Amino acid sequence: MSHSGEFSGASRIPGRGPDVRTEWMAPITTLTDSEVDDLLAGTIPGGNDDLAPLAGLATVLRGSALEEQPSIGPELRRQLHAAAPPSDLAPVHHLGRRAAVWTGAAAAAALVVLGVGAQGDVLPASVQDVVSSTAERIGIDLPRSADRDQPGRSDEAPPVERGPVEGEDPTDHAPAGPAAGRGDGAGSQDRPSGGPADRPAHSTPPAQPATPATPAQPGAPGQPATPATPATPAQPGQPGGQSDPGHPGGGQPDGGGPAAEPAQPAEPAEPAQPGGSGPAVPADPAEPATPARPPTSGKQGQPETVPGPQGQGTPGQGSQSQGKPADPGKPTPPPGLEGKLPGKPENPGSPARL
Amino acid sequence: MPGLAADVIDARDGSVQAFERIFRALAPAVASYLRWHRVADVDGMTNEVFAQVHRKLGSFSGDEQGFRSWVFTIAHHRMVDDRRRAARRPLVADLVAVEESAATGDAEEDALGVLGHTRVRELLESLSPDQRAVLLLRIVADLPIEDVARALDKAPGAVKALQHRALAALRRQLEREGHPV
Repeated sequence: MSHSGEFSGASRIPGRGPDVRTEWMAPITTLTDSEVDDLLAGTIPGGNDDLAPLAGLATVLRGSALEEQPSIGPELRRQLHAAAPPSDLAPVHHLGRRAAVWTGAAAAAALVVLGVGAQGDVLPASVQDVVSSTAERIGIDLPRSADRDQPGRSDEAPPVERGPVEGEDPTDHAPAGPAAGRGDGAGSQDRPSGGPADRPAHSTPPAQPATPATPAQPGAPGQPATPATPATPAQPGQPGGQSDPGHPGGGQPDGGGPAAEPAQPAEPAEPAQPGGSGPAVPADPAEPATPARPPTSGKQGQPETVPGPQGQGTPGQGSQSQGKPADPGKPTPPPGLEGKLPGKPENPGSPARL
Repeated sequence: MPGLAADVIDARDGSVQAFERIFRALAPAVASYLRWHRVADVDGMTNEVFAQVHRKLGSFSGDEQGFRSWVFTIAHHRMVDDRRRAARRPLVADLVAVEESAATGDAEEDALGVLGHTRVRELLESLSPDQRAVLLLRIVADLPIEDVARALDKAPGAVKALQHRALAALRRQLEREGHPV
């Protein structure tokens, strides 16, 4: 092969001669680590001027690191702002998140307490009614505060005796009055939904308007017609505790509510219907509505006795019969007693105050 | 850099301002390190380095020196990746980019600076990539031997040997040319 001589090893690989690497490495390898650090920092270690060019090179390299300040690009800045909130807002954000968690937990706990309390019917009446009415909207049946007026419950207002309502036809079972449909006329506490009495107890309603006068009843043949029953005066609100201003003695605790509004005037009695042969007695004009009177100084939870319109209220028992369908078993009081109705307010003219 | 550790903690908690302070503290050195390695887009790669630092900041644990070493390790890996990509593309624009990036605005200073930077760059190019990386990490990044060893995934003794050889080669090159840097 013609190339065999050219590739002979002896002529191809040059001899090293003096160790060049060792020669140039000598000044470097003799340096200690700290001297190397000084050299790389730009200082000449040990006054060795042979290393001055290296020190100069290190100075240039170090200086180059301070020459230019790169700017944060839009992509990096977008990443910074997208990935993490600013530090100034982070604590607030975390605080707000914690506060939201605590608020939610507190709200949930309050709901549980209210639910359990309402289920056990141990809440104050106003709260009980609010909770029960709210629960009804979502399909949960909870007892109302009015359900407390059942026998055997000593911690609640005693049951209310319901008497017939003046100004109503005893045979008329139709609702008569603002609280129509509230009872069955026999003292029952059943409430059909949707009536005015279903409003929450926490909102103090105005005083009940006076019951319209009962028109005179035609008399039987040969007898005079029954005179018209005077209108029932408006009933004031009860002081705090168990009474609803709009329903005297109704067992609605609303001691802190606003004052009851004055009652509306009663409607005048209608004239007697002809039908008897005797002379018809003209109906008495309805008494003007009596404004609600201010609450008396009954104790909290033990309202002052406010007898019902029929005078059948017992101490500590408010009558809820106002606006109730009249008990058909009880006769209408005879005429002439309207001025002695025990339900008449003692101090008419001054607004009720709770 | 007394506040670097606190800035790292704040930046890890999401503070943009703290990360911007970290960027201002370390980005010039990172950019210089990349520039001496003849990276084409120094600013772009510097931003990429710090974007990766920001993404991985939650996994970092250590002190200031450890953080600095960590940042330059990322920069070195980015530079190696860029070099591999650059091997598949022409390098015509790279020199221009490096010289233009070193301009300061003063004509005389710029001329001297370009000459100085050109000379330094030529000197660095006479080194092997490992020697160049060791020297730049030691000088520009100001890392100790141990951190350079971790960044280059080498033993500290090997790094020290590379450092000595690089200094000897530069000294020989400088004395041959007879010109100070």
